[in-house]
Amino acid sequence: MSFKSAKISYIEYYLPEQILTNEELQTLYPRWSSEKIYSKTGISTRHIASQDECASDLGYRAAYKLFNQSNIKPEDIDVLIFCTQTPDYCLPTSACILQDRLGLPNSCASFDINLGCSGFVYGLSIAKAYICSEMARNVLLITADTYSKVIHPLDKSVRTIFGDAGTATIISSNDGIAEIGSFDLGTDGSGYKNFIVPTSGFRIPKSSETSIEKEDESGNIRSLDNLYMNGSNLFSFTLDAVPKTIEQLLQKVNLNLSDIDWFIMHQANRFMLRHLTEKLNIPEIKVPICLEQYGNTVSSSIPITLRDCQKNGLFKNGDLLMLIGFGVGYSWGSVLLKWMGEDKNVS
Amino acid sequence: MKIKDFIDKCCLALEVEPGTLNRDSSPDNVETWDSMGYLNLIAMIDKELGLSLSGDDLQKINTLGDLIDELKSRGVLE
Repeated sequence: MSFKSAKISYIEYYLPEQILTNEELQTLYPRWSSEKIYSKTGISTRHIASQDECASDLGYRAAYKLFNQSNIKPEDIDVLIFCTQTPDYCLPTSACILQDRLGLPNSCASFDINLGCSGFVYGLSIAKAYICSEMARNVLLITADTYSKVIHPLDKSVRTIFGDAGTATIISSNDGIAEIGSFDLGTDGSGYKNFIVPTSGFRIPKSSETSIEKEDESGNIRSLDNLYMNGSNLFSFTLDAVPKTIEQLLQKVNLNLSDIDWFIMHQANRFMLRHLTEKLNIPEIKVPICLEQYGNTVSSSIPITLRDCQKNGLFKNGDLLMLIGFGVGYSWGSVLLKWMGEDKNVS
Repeated sequence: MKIKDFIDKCCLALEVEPGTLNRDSSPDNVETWDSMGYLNLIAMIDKELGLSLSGDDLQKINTLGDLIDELKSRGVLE
């Protein structure tokens, strides 16, 4: 057998039923009207997982939908990669639970990766490596997170932005809708404290002290058990890292910025995407914004944007797409895709 | 960029009436200089002066006067 290239063949996503609107949020934050929240973030609603719904449930639903709507079957999957930062357990591996629940064969390699906004691009890089090294024919990449479970209800800096979602993508050696090209990946762990749930592991154990809620200078309330995001530091990091990864990837493949038809960026928030687009001097029309209904869905934002654009017939045969993920870690990655046109997903 | 022009840009970034900011303006006396205000300032400085200030840089700056002095010391303001 000879697998020369890896292709994305199917993408599906699942959004939890419960919806959080700006109108509900404005009742909690006196100085932020629903219009202000929308104008700053570009987000009008977010989907929120129910109390008994975990990231693996969202991932399961997305994969279930994908298997139902495609001609690929669970027994065809050789590798399952589950990208999440809100797993069911620290141990066991959530991917193992998903392998059983989805009816994937026991010969399927299954593992989690813990990455946020860069996770889909990293997942594609691992999937491509498996396929091009002929260790797998079909990889199922699932991304899912439930940040809502670690967000304090009165922390508007994060609650206005993040939504829960799950996605499932098949990367295959056979036919597909997009061929996966070159990557540029990077890390700067010096920024780890700027986007963190301090008690999410073993470094700072949860205690009655860590659950004490404090108000910050902007009036947001959180404890050490909640998600903390230093928005301005993260923004500065993005302004620095994103143009660099784009430039480095273009250099690797000897292309110019104008050769790229679509830039599918991690959907952080509209303010950031608009500013990045302006800074990079890219026409706005080449940068789809797809977060009004979903919010920032972390590692799911890029596959959701790809799927929505695909459904809307935005991409044409031969189009070059650059996917760019960036955020928590700090971690970032970009990859080129060549759209192959044939729409195998059933809309 | 001249200091007066920079202050005008700050008024736009913080969404306050032109001419209402001065060296003593700070997050304590400008309501819109909140976390979102910081992002607007970072975006404006990045766009207009080509300098990517971190949020930590900005948090150390107490007033608009401090910010102006910092940017002068970095050679991006006249």
